[in-house]
Order: sequence, then structure tokens, then C-alpha cells
Amino acid sequence: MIIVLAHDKGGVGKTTTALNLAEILKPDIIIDQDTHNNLVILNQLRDEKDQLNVLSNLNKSELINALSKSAQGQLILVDCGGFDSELNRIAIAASDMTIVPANDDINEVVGLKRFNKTLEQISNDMGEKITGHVMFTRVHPSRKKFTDVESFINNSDNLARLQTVIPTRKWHAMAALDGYGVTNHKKTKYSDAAREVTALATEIKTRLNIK
Amino acid sequence: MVDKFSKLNSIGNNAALSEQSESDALITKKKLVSNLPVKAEERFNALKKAGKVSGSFNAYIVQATLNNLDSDENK
Repeated sequence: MIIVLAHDKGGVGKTTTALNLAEILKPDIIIDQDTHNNLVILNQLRDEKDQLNVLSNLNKSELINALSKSAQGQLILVDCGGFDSELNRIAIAASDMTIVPANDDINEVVGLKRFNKTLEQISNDMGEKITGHVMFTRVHPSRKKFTDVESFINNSDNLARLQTVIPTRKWHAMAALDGYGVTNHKKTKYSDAAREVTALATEIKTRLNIK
Repeated sequence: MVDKFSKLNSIGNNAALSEQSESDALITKKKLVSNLPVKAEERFNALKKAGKVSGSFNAYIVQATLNNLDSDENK
């Protein structure tokens, strides 16, 4: 199974979400495709016993080889860089689920519109429909309705919405300071953020039929 | 039926960016060019003086070689 965090816009929350999901889904391989190698750096902050299997700086054949391990039952989590590139497209094309973190800002709609086009091109290249599952994150905790953005998503052929929302919470930064997701840090594991991330992982597991 | 992972090789050609592997970017070697016409360097120096080219003669030779390779590969 391959789960990909992707959006060709930076700063939307791909790496934070990848780290949080890694704590719960416990992927066999994590691929860091961001040129900043943030997941690699966060992994260095973790205790030795908690090290994640993070691969980075893969070239095209190394990436395809790593992705193909999903056929042997391995769970692979990919954190794409915030740009439209060949290797990011390959990861999206191979994915069983592409998650697109976004918020309700008007600039996001512009970004999502462009990303929908990218997904359309990848679908044409692969000969099968690729859907980006938009996950609202970094939104104000009081925001519950996303009518305008939702309406745009509903009218986009290659976008759908995940129901879980991950609002802005101080606990994400606290846990990440030590290289952990919120569910696996002693100061944050009983927080609202941890409950929200757990709900996201449950929604993903249900959709992908992962136990 | 084409295997999904074989198909991936042809994905992403129309992406805005293409990752360059470090090995492609960094591997160079020293190469001594023998019998380089003196006139060629003189013509380069004249062009440089006239502000029509910039950089070193070495970089100019490398770029000319790459241009020639691209042209021959696309014949």
C-alpha cells in the first residue's frame, strides 16, 4: 500500500501530516522527496529506539524500486516536495491514496485548481483516474464549515474530500521539536491534536481497508 | 497487461521540474585538449573583448561540446 502526501504548493502541512501519520500507521518505508529533507532531520532528533526508516535523495529508478515493495505487502508513506516534478508525479501515480493537505484560504483554491490539473495529467499518463483527497489542516479550530472550498472540490474531477479536519494546534510544533508526531510525545499524546490525528489515521485505514 | 511499476517510468515527463541526480550534476573530469587551433582562442578573446561572450575559454569549450552533442543526438 502506498500513501502519498502531495501538493505542488509548499507550507500546507505535508511533512507534519506525514510525521503524524507515521506514528500511527507505522509504515515500513518513508520516502522524503522534499529537497529540504525535513523528515530526515526530524528523524535525527528522535531517540535511537524510535528511528523511522526514512529514505531520501532517491533517483528515479531507486524511487520506483522502493515503491514496488508495496507489491510485497509493505506500507510506504511518501512526503512529496511542494513543487510539480517528475518524481513527485511518479509517487502520486503509484499511490493507493494521495492526501492533499490544504486550508480554507482563497489562495488554496488557486493552488488546488492547479493541482487538480496536475492530477488530471497524471491520470491521463497512467490510464487510470488518480484522485487527490483534500484534507483540511492548519485551519482555525473554530472553523467547521468549508462551503466555498468544498464546492470547488465537488466540481473538480480529480479531487475529493477527507472528512477529518486537523486544525492549527500548539502541540504539533511541541512534538516536532523532538522529532515526534503528537500521538507519540509525552507532552502531547493526550491532546486534542492527538485525537484529531488518530481520527485521520482511522479514516485513512477505513478507506484503504488497512488493519 | 503492463505492470503498474513499469508504467511509472513514463510518468512525469510533462511536470514543470525534473529532479537532477547529484551524480549527473557533479561528475566531471580533467581532459587535456591537444592541437587546439591558436586561432580559436584568439577569436574567443576577440569576442570577449567585444562583450559578445563571457566566462572562461574552458567553459566555452565545454558548452560548445554539449551543444554539439545535443545537436547530434537530435538528428
